[in-house]
Amino acid sequence: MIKVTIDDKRLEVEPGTTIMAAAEKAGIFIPRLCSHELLEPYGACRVCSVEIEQNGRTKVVTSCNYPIRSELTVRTNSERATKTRSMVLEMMLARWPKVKVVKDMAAHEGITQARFSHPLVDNNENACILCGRCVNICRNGVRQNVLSFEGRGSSRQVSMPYQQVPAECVGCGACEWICPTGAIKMIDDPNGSADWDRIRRAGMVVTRELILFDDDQCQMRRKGTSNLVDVMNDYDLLPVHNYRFGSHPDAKFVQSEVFASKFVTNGLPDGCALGCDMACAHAADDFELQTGPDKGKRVIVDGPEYETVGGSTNMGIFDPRWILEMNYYCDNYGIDTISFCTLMAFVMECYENGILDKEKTGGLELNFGAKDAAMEVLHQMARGEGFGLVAGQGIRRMKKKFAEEYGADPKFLQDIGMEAKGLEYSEYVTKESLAQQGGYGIALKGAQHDEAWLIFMDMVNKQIPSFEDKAEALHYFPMWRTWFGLNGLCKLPWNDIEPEDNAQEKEPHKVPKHTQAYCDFFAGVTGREVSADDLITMSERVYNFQRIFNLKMGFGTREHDAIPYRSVGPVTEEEYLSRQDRYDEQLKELEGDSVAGMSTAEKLQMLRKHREDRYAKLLDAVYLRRGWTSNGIPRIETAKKLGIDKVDGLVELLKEHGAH
Amino acid sequence: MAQLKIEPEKIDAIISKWNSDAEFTIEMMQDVQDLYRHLPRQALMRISKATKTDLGRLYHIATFYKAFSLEPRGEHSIQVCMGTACHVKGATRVMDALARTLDVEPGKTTPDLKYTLEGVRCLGCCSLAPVVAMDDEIFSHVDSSMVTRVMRRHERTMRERGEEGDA
Amino acid sequence: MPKLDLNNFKQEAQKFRSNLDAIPSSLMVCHCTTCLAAGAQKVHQALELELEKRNLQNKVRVKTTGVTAFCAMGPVVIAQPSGTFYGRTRPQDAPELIEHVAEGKELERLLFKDKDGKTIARQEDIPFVAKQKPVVLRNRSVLDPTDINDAIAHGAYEAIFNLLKKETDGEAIIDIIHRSGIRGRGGGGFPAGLKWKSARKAAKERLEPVFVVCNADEGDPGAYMDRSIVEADPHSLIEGMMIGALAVGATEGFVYIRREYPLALERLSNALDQARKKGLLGKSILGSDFSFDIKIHRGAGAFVCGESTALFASMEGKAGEPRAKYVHSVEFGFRDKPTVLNNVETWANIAQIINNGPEWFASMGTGDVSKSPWSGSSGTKVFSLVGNVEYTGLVEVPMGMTLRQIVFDVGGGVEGGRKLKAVQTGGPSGGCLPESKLDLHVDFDTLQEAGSMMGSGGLIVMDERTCMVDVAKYFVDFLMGESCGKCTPCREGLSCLHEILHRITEGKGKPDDLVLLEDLGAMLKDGALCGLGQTAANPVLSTLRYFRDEYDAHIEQGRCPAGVCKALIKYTIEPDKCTGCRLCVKPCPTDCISGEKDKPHTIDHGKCIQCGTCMDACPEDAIRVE
Repeated sequence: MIKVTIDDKRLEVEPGTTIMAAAEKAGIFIPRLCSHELLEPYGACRVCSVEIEQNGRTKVVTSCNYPIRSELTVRTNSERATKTRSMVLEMMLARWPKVKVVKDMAAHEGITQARFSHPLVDNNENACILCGRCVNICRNGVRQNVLSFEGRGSSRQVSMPYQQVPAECVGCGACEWICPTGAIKMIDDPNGSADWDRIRRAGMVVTRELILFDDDQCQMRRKGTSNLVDVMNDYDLLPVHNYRFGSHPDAKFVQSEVFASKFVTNGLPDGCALGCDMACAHAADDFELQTGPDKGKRVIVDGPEYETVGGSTNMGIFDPRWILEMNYYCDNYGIDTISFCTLMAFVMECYENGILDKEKTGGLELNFGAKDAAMEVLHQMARGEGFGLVAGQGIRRMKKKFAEEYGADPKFLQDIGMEAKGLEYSEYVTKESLAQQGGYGIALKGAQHDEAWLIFMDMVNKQIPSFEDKAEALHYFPMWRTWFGLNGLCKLPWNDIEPEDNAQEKEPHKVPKHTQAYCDFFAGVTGREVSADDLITMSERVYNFQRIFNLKMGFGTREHDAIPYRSVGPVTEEEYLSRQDRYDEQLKELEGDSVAGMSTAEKLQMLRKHREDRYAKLLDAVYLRRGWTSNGIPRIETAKKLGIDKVDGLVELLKEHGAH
Repeated sequence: MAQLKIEPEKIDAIISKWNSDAEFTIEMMQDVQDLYRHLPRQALMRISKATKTDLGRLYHIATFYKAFSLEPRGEHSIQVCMGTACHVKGATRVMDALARTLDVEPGKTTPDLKYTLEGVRCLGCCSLAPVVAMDDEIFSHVDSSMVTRVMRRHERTMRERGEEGDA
Repeated sequence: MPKLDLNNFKQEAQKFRSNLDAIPSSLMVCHCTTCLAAGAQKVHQALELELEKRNLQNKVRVKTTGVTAFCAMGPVVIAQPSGTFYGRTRPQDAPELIEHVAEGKELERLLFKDKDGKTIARQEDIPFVAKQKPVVLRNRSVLDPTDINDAIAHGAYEAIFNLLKKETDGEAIIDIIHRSGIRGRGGGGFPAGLKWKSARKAAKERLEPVFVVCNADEGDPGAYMDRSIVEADPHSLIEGMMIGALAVGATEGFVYIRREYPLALERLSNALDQARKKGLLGKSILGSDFSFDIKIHRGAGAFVCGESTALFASMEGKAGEPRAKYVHSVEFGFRDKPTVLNNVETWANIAQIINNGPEWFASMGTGDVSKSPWSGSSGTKVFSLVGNVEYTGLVEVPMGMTLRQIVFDVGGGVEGGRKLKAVQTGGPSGGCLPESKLDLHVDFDTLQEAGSMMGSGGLIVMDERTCMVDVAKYFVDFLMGESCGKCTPCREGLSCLHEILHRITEGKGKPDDLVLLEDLGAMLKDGALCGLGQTAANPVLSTLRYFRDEYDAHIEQGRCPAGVCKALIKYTIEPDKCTGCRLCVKPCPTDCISGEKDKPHTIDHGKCIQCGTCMDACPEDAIRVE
């Protein structure tokens, strides 16, 4: 710590603290113009000049960017400092006599009229005063490089190339928001929104946080969702070997930094959604393909997203180049990376268990980690030949085939075949997360995380500890997340960046400040005031309708919300033993000391019973909370309350399935 | 010299000469400026793409450095040295005389795109002050009464060179 | 071209020297920008043609050389080994010149004549040259800058050879540089040894690469020392940078050079190519484990790029805007890495310091630098002595010479015997010193105390016909065009200063204006972001300090005593001087001069626009300014 004296107040600061920050700490305000909390110090306006004394020498410096590195004395109102500041403001007043912020600041220094005329006097009230805030927020804040300076000296101005709005400008409005004089006006009014200004202000809530906190939170802008690889591996949630394990020492080879620094070299978003300040979707550029029809080509690969990396570790593959290659071909073949990875992990476990062999795979050795063979299966799937014809049918049909044709144990296949409602699981190990088990199991489309991605709040942030919390979360979040789908919005900016004080909120996992921003957004677009609860109601209506639609198609009952046991607990003794301490502990809490003498097989059985019971209870609780019957069917009164009962035949369908 | 049709391959050749290195965008732009006497928009776009440098930055560079111009400069450049030594020996009078003769403001190009008249900071020939550089021909001890003569002499030099070039 | 290494270097150098000695006489034709502009190329060709015609190639050779420094006399040819100086040569002088040199005689009519008409044959005896102490310019008139063998024959790369041969440690090299007391010649005067030390330390601590950079963006108007050094002896610069790189542990170096210096650029590129082919640059230099190479960045026309942080920005391919230097650029410079930045002249001194020892260097100049480089200014300094002075050109003298000695003893006094008004030093960052300050010693610290600065070495003599308000306005105008516009004080301050000065030169000044000028000046000094802005008011403040009466004359009497400010002057023709030759009539743009041939003419003041063309045209000095 370094001792500083500012205007006779003494304090100690960390080395590198700027004088301005230190002064703020001491409760002294230094006037400023180009400086802003969202921006790196720029040091251009010089309004924040102060006089410092160090080793008997004095000089005037700008407080916004002067780092304190050794003991010093600062005078914010010495004669020299004041003279510099006043003269700077007097010149600005001479050039921009009508600009309010200039007038106010000059008046504060006792100047109401400049003593001289300025050759470039500009009487516009909203003149640009060249503070550079807009350029800096555009380039360094929202990282869009749309605004820049033009010319030099007295002809310097803020501009866009050739005075035209470039295609890269997404109209985020950050420049208008940060401009102290109103010189920048957005002239766009997309689709006749009711209150465009309100929409942009709501957006700035998130923009501001992204600029200030993203580098310390998730690094979505630099790494995108792949940042989760590191977190999931640390928390034992990264699927390895068909969800048997939750971490692996080799995960370091595919962690986010590898992709961010070695492959995603252009640093640009892939343009997933123009206008997004988070811009988390990246692309690996100039990537040379090693296999398949495009072998030898240098291509751009979108991603990789977390799921694609997690899917690969699930197959026991820890090779970043292979992951990009697989990502590329899945994209080009029109195959979902998650489904491919999860079904291949299942195939590999079957191969290792002897359910499959080389004869059945057409000569491919498909152990965990067999990356070349796995890539070949991908190509075969696309070509519709060989073992690709089998794998390409997905886990649900493979289970049937393997049991019926290869005589495999259907119960084992059911336990390890990671699908629900026929859709392959996405890439999280849910054994310890009851909430996520429900999230996968109850989801309308099958085992995907989009509807209820609760694993992070459950296991990393530990925000929903009790059974009731989890059941409530399984009501609230699927509805909340459905709302994004209803409005065509991405949910990542909702909780992949959080306000600085989010942890102090009553319900931090809901990120209340952002929920409010979305209410403002909705009102800004439609002109209709809404509360956070209103948003949930909108979703409930659709969600229940979708559930009933499932019912009509033969899927919407409790039995369809069942999940494979691998996602609930350890299936094999090997799995149990790999986390024996954890499981023993849990059993001891439930059953007392009697557990001590049991064999692993017995303990495995006992744990399974507990966990399956617990899942069943969760379903009961969630159904109740949603106004459904114990068979998972919306009650008629629920349908009435939501106003969807008027749909032809809907009530009859519900009655048919025992709802009342 | 009259090189105003923009050929993308020539621009790309310049970019490759500097290895598409973003640290050498200024050099690329100088080469383009020499080739076309200005920076065509298409050239900036190509440099931007090849070097992964945003157009805004290139535009700032193009309007920041004196070497660049977004509008075509004249076929011949007339540079009046405005260094201190030339100033104290009457460079301002020479500049005024040239501006009058060409009927063009300093820094501007004649409407027929023949001459661009500009003041430049020291050419480093202070012993010859006042100095005027017409293209790469340097005229020394120029005074305001000499400008027409000097221009005629330069035209002759250019003609002779052209004939040499043709032969 | 065979590669040089630590084993064959000495023999090869000897071989180059013997080759040189094989032909007894040389005619060194100066190919500096100035001499070329004056027609040196044609003289050179004529000499070669003549040599061929007479078949004298084995007796005399015609060689290119980079600079003779006595620029006023261009095109200059020097006969070696006699050192005979021939100025203002023309192609038609070639036959006579060759004839005389081949016979070992002097060509009387082309020899230099001093003001008293005395003929001086040898270059070294000409007063302009005799008072100088060439260190950086030691190879002027002898070296062919386009031929590395010639450079090696004259001792180039000996210093780096010895350092590599003896496997000298970087710290030891820095110690030598430190003890020499050499301070940066670009204007700042920061001790080079300290700079190198910090860079080496920062790189070691942070395990980061370090760069050496040469600032050849010489931009001060009226200064061309660096250009001349690069044109005349590019290898001295390259060798200096190599030594710097070896000392701080750099493998990459850069030269940032003005594009307005095409000849210097060409000579430097050529020298780098030759050095690479000789194994003096690139991987494993001279077969040692030291690797280093130099790239060139061409400036694109921005004075502010002489400022270190702006220069780095420009090298990174950005607009040259400076940033705050509260964190030193020697620690966070080019690409945010430790960087040693010195200017051409500083680098060109380095090999000499290694060859002759730090004590030799410290023995020249002022103060005692044995304890600290801050306590004096050691070595020599090159100045470009220009303006209204009799002999213009490059002057290299030991630090500490007085301005009077430089202007009068070396430069031969004011042109045409007129009265001296001021000496301007330090370019736009410097100031104008009056006659009363001529006995100041020229070094880093003394000039600063007097309100000017040494800067990079421009020294412009101004005679009584110079208006100091106009000079102040000139510099402000120059800087206004060069300010990057990032910080308010510089961008707005210069506009305001210019507005006020313009008003004064128009005769519309107010007494309060001088207070305003001082206030704006103080604000720039304290408030501007970079060196350009902080010193921008120096020309205004120094002229206010020493020539206040001229400001007063403009403001109070509406008079420009020097007769420069258009709005305040009137041209008239002195009837007794005018011969009626009519030379002024034709160039007059407004046809306002009339009269009969061979009789005194008159000016119609209703039509006159005060352009001054008549005064320039008049051979009789008959035009008077009032």
